[in-house]
Amino acid sequence: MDRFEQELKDALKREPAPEWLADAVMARLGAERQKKQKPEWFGWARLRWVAASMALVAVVGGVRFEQQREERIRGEQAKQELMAAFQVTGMKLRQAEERVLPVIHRGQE
Amino acid sequence: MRTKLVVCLFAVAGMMAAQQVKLPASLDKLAEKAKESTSVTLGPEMLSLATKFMDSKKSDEAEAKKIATKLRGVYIRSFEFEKEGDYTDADFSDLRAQLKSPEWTPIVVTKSKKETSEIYTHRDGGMLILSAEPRELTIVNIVGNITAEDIGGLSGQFGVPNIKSTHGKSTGAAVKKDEE
Repeated sequence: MDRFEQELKDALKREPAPEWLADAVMARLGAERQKKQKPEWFGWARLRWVAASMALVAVVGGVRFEQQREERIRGEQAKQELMAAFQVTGMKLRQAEERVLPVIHRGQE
Repeated sequence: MRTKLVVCLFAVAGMMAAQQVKLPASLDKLAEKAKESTSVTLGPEMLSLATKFMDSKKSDEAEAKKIATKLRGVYIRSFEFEKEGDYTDADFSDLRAQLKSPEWTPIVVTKSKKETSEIYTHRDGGMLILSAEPRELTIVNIVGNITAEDIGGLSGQFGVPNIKSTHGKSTGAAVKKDEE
């Protein structure tokens, strides 16, 4: 056996794994498993939920805003109609008053 | 207790319904003939909505709001015609017939050759104004617990005269004026 062969043999010689290796591998595997088991709240799933919630809030908010806007328009319109109604009523009462007043005054004289 | 409440609610609803006259369908046809027509139909829901948007800090709106909260309905039909004779008494004869009911009391009736002003109050507090002029016809029906004094409260705000001070102590008797 020449020197080269001896070196090759030494290099390929099977050596037992160091004692710490098994623990290190197991520890690493455990860490990997934990990482996988971690809820996906930090991942896409959570993002999807957040996006869906935001969309829901936006839709509900939009609908509510539109309802309030419509109610405000209807309310303002009703208010204007009521004010106009009071004006017409007032005008007609005034006309009646103007027609009746001379009669009352004549009666008092 | 519950039955009494239901009976009371029906009674109140009945009273309010009685104050609301049935506006004849012929009035809708008049709108087609009229040069201008105004129609106001405010039921309880719209009145309540209107009061929500009235500003209590503005004096005119505050007074109107106070009165509006007592109302259950405001119905106005007003027509302005191009020429005389575009409408006749027959167009509102159905309305007159309803006003003959003992629940309605005429408080002011003025009639001249061409003009008529009639104000009726309902036993339960409603009011109806009928004003007929040669080219103008107006019917105002106010439903709710409103009195002439309430309308007087709007004095100076909407061109409303102070009925109480004008007519002195109201005895409920009708003031009638008939002219040629």
